[in-house]
Amino acid sequence: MTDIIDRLEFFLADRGIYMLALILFAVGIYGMIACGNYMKKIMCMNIMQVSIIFFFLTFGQKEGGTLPIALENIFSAEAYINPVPHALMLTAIVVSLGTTGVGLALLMKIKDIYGTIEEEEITGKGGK
Amino acid sequence: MNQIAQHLPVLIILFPLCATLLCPLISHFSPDWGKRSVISALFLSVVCAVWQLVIVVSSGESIHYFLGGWKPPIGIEFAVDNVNAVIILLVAVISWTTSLFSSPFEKKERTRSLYSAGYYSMLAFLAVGLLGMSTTGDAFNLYVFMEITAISGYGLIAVGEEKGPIASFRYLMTGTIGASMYLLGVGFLYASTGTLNMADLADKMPQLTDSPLIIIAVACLIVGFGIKMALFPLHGWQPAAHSYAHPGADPMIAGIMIKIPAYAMLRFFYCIFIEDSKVMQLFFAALGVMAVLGVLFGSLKALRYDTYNKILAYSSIGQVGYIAMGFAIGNVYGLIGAVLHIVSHAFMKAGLFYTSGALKYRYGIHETTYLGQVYRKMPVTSLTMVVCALSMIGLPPFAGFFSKWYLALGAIQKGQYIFVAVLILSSLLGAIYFFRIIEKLFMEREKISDEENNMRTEKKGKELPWQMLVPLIVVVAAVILIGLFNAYIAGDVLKPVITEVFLK
Repeated sequence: MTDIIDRLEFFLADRGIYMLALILFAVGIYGMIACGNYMKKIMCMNIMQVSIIFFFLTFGQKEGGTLPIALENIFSAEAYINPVPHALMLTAIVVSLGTTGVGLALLMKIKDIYGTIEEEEITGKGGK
Repeated sequence: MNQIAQHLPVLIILFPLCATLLCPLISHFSPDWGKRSVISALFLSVVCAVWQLVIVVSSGESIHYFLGGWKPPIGIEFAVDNVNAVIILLVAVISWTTSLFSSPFEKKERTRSLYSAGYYSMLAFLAVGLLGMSTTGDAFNLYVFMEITAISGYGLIAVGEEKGPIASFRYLMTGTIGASMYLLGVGFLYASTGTLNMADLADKMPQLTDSPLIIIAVACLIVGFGIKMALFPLHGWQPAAHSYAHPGADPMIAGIMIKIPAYAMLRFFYCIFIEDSKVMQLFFAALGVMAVLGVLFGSLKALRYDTYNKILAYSSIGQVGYIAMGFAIGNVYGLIGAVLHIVSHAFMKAGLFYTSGALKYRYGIHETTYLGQVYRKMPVTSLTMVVCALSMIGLPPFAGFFSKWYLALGAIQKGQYIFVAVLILSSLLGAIYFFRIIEKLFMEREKISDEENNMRTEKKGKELPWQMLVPLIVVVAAVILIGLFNAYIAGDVLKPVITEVFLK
């Protein structure tokens, strides 16, 4: 019994955070498929994108690492965390902002044309 | 001159990028000049692309351009070799002709400066994304260019017909999943190798191949690229998006927006992974199945429709299947066939969508039943339609025949006869739906009366404005010339790079 608890603890400490990212990703994709409301679809899309940002930041983290700014008394590279994943994710955040903006603009136009953003009502009106 | 020649890879992208930013400003004062700035910037890109192709082919060495002078593992690299240079020229030519082609449209629609500025900015931005995707040698940079392409694509689809916004929204949802999957794949690769440069990734991959992390990464990458290139089970967004996009920009969206991800897939997989690793065997198997099903599905589905755009959109799914088939064959002839098919199909499909746009411009129709006797009034359009359709079916002097020929040669060499059978079967199906269009064009009774015709055309007697005739002629010339000079293109330009870089 204690063996199982030990292994579970090890698993959660080692991989638990990745599982969290995976769950977020799955929630996002499920919502994008299952929600009938286009606004909710966009929100789920954002959840999915955040999960990927989360994933990158997680593997960019290091125990005992400090900010990647050169300090006077620390010389070894091991003491600093890798700044590249964070820099990449800044770009990814900008991209996700752009996609969300385009999505919202499209929703406004869809609302103008069909008067609704519920998928069922739109397909009922012949928008396939 | 040499100074400029050094910077060609980045200049080709920089001209349309500048035009994207300047166009709204210029359009504020004069919409016409805003439009002209985009057209001339894209023309400069065409000139630079030709120049770059000549340099690369004559020297036989690839160009490596380091942005900001930072060397590869740290900085971003632009790498151009023979295959690349051909694709870049293809993108530049089709972008330029499309920008020319769409200029008469907004005269008919709205002449507001905002509309014109937005439309041309997005067109130039789409060109930036596609050119960047085919130039870059950095995995994350590829993601950024992919999203640039996608975001401008969403806009161009949404300004199209009435159902445009819905089609665009669905593409946005699917496209974002695709891009996120790609990013996830890159994340796995980065976590296991610590580099994003493709050449560097290729160096570090042999020690890691067959680890579960890499297999997951490959699965994510296949889904990501597959969605972007509308490969069979992941094609859901494509028919609506291609049918309802803005008729002026449709040639570019249908012609090259799904080919460049295919090219990126080729570069990514064949440059990074070694051919006989377990990962690549999985890749061949997955892509082979998707390709065969996609070719059959696309061809059968195209038979069902009477709308010109829908037929073309579904036939695109089949044609992307051919390209994937070339990747799945994976020997020299297979890859030559795939690259040649990317080029020739881009011209053929762009040509067919030019004719669709021309019909829309003059008569406002998309249904094939109204095509009767149109050839009397629009001879150049009908010629383009016939040439491109025959090339799509794969009849000899045209480009489409030779790319299918190389694919078949590759499949026979590797002993995969099922690909040959599928190739022939789907060509026959293609013959059915394209000959149906050609038959309607020449044999059907006239449906559009002359009064209606006069009402809809601004100037009677003239077929189309010259801005629309130039793209049609360029496409016909390209389809015939690629067909005639296929031995040179395949043997001298593509083969050395494909044997050395892709199949090392």
